[in-house]
Amino acid sequence: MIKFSNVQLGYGGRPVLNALNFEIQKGDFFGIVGPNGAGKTTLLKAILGLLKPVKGEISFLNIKRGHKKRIGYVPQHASVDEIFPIKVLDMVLMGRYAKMGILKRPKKRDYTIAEEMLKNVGMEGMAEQNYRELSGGQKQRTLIARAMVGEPDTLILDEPVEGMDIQGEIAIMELIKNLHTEFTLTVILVSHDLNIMANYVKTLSIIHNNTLKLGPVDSILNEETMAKVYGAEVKIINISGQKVIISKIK
Amino acid sequence: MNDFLINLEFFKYSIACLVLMALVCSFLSVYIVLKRIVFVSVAVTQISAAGIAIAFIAGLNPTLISLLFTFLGVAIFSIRFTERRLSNESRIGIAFVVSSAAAILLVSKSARGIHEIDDLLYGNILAATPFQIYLMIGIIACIFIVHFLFYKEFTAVTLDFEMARTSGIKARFWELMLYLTIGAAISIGMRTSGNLLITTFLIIPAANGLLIANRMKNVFIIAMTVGIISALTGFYLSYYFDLPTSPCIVATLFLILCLTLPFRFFYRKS
Repeated sequence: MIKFSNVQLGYGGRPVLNALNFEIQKGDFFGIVGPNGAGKTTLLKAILGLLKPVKGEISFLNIKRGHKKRIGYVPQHASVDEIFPIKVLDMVLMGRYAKMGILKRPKKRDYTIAEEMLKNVGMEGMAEQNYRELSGGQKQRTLIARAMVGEPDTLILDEPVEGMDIQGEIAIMELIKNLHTEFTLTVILVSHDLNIMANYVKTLSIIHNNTLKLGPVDSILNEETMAKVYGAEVKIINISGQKVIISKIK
Repeated sequence: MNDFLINLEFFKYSIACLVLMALVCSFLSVYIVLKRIVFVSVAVTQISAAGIAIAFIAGLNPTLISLLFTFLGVAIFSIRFTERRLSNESRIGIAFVVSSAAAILLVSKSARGIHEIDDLLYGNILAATPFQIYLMIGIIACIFIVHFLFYKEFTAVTLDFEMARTSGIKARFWELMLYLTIGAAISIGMRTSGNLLITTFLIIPAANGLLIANRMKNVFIIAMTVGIISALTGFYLSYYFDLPTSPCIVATLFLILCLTLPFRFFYRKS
């Protein structure tokens, strides 16, 4: 469980998010949305431990004494530099480097875990391919496998379906959903795609007016809140149990 | 050629110095180009030159002072500032121009003046002494041992710093270590190889490797091979045509890079 106690986040003395008091429960599928520049990445960096809070405390509960927090981080695939000459298997193995410890080389067990995870994410037979020659969807799957081989209990993803077509979006989200169930993971997801969030996450948080409003998707995702947060009129309709969010053109 | 071979005994320390610098800088160039810190290396080279200028004036050991300045420079560049109004590029640019000006101002009042500025820019490869060579071998061996032992950590912080940090690798520490090895390589060769040649060795060999190879190991091998071949060819050309050594090596490196481009084009087509 991750607990935010009266947290303020910001850069260079300028606060971006204030009065954050919430908990992310173990096993939750937690989504973070908000308009551009609202502070989604700032919040994500704070959870990842890359940004120290200006005020307050972020604590990881239920971690055994002497154990480290086990986070698997999946950045946007575009943020991983394509000039790097690396094959898919080596990219995935990189997720186990911290586990191996310094002065140690990958062992047979590490290779087995990496190959197994590539199979789990639908990348079987692609271990020897060059990472830079993969499609956007395949790169995303590789980065998910890299995060998963560290055997995390929390998987954090930054815009996992950014720049993908509808088919690719669904495939990646279904994969994340399956991993969430199969490995009993806590999943924290940042996305600007409300349709994806509406249909996959359990708890939704919206950043508005420098703070966070959160709750079960159905209670948060309504036309009134959307109008307040995004300043645009939206219509939420239900098609065969699937939520669709359409913005009204003035 | 015969003439060159006769004089080889006289040049042996110069050639050894060039080969050693080509070897270590070409190796490190792979990290510099992949991490997109080319301008950091350019600025650090200039800071090292400023250190040597101060050593000239104060009558101190140039290699030691250059090493101190370089380590200070890399330590500052490895800090990730959260201040958003000034980009990292601006900081690096400021460090580059200020240290360039400082080096010129410091040596301009020296008795040798313009010759010392020339030495800073182009080095004085004929000034290589046996002691310098042994010192270089020792430091370069340390650099390679550190890189062999901590290859995992260096590649992780080069490819994806944030992933490395979140996965539990002490990314800031390993990034600083990487920068320190780059700083050490720059400092040991500054007096003999000069600013221009070191900067070139820290960029072009990796470009060759990355254009041809698809695996890290092969990129390192190609970069180091290209670096050493260019150093030897450039040195011979400078002797044969009676030209300055550093620009001849830079020209050779650039020529090899130009020859790599069509190779890459045909390789991709096939």
